[in-house]
Amino acid sequence: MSLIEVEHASQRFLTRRGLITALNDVSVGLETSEVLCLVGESGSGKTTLGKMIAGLRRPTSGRLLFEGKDVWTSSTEEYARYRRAVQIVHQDPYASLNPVHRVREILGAPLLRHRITSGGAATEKRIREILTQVDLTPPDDFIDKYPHQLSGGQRQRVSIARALTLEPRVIVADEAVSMVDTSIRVSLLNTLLNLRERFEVAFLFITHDLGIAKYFGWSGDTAVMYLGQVVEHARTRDLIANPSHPYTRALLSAIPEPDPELTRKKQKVLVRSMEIPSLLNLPSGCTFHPRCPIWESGLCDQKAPALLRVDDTREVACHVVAREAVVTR
Amino acid sequence: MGDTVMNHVASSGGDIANTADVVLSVKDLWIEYLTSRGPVRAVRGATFDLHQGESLALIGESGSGKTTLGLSLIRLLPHTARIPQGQITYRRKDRTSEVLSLGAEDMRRFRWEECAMVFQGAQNALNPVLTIRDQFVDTVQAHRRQGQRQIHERAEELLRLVQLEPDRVLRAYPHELSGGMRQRVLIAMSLLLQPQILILDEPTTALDILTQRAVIDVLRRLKEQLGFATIFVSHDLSLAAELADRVATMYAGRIVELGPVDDIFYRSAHPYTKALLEAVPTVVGNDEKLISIPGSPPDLRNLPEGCPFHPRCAFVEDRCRTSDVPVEWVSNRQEVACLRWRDVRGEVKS
Repeated sequence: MSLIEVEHASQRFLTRRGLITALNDVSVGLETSEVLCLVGESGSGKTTLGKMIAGLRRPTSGRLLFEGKDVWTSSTEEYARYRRAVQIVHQDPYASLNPVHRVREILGAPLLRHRITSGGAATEKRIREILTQVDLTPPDDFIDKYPHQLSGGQRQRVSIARALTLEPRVIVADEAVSMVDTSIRVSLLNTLLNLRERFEVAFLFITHDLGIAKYFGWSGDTAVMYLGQVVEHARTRDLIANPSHPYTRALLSAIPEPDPELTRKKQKVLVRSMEIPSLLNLPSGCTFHPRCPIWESGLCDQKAPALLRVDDTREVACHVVAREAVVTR
Repeated sequence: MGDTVMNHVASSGGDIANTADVVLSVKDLWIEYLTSRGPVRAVRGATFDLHQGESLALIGESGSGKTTLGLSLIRLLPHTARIPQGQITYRRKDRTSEVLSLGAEDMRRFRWEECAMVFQGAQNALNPVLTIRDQFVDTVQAHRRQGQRQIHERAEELLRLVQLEPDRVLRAYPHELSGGMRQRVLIAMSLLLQPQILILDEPTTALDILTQRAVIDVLRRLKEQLGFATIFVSHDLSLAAELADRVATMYAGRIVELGPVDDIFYRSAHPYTKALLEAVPTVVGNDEKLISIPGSPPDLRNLPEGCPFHPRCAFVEDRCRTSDVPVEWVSNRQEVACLRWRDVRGEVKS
């Protein structure tokens, strides 16, 4: 039984300009202390999926299971247990912390609300422990600070600490290091990786940066999303070394590398169009076909490909790739 | 003033002693912001030359002074900024001008005709109630008497160069174009008056990966075809690796290292540049060990004594905590502000 299971979930929004399908029949799972990276461009649905897994959005159709139970039909107690078990760390540490609360209150409130500690010295002790776990040491230097007195990296550590107060099983990290300067990004990622090892926390790690996904998710999985669907899902190392879906290949080849020779030598996979189609008016068949370098007329523009298992650890949603995989087997 | 430039370059010897092709020369430039808590020095003694047709990357993190330095080159600093010291000299074949002492009308002409800028978040820099065509026409007519027809021809040519369809784009309002298209429209517009220098502030930040690739390729092609010089300001080392001929690393308002792109990436002599490179993953290839940089970026109001990087530096020695750090030449084309640059290059940590 998986810790988290998303089954054929879709999320539709009614906007003034029409119905938007932000997520279309997505299925992913997350095991204890596993890392799943979600990568994709804007509009790919990665944040919507993150919010769905964090319980902030009920799927329009499909199910979200926590330890095998449907979250949205479970009893009040089970639902409360789930909400405690899944915590979220947002992108912008300048917007996600209450500016009029000190670190003590920011971390103390959830501890008291969920009766994890009983207040007074016990709460104080627990806050200091958590600050130490996120490397805000010595805790005395931070516990009385307001968010504006902290740097961006330190604020993000407070956000992580806040998520930790409830001893979560899963942390949804939505672009959690994107706004942090390069020089402090690695230490923040290392802090998160340590938490995973020490407390067996599973991570849903959402990022647009494949380099960061590679570093954080090296021992886990990565799912590539495009216009509301997962188009490729594989072990991160396999996905990077040997991308299958033409979209994944185009993405990996397009990213500039922080190494002049490497970046000059990189073979580029060209897409046929630079423009991402609108979610209001999705292309027929495979939604990637108007940009795809290997599309086949009469097939890819007619029929939507399903996400199929092409080998032991990889799923791909592409007619052409799936056919070749069968042939070579 | 030609003398001062000659002196600076002469001290370098070798490769870039040729000043004939220097189009912009910045010398000992200091910039401070007046705040309620006193002045904050955002740029401290920046000195560099920009050569004809070259592309120079100013790389740094938030608060390093890179955007302030970029804005100062066309004097678009906010009112709270002051330039207590320094020179910015612009050269064209037959004349040189001191940018900091240009009068209002000369400055207005200098911008866009000689030196154009594409701003950060440029996608939002277009006027939402005018078509792209009108914005092209307005831009040209603010500088030159030119008929609509001629302007159209030039606009169409430039739009094709940035891989856009002129017919469709010229008729459009900004909201009808995607972010990546708007960014390319602005790049095309910035080149309307054939400036010698183009400054780009974070040109690919906030763009999606495939769009970012399109913009990078367009910039490279334009530079090859039109031969203007570019300065781009970015936090992104990959962008520098892609587009720069030379790279300047900034830290706490100083240019701490400056040299050809390959020297900076493979033979870096400054511990900060080196540490940044070790902290950024490549995408292709195997799992790499990334090394984090301890501490946080410095508070400009309260800089450490000696070398401002010393509290975070793996090569720190006692003298780094107290003495000023001069800029030294590592080779005839690479300069660095570090007392221990020889050890940094040779990897001898303290």
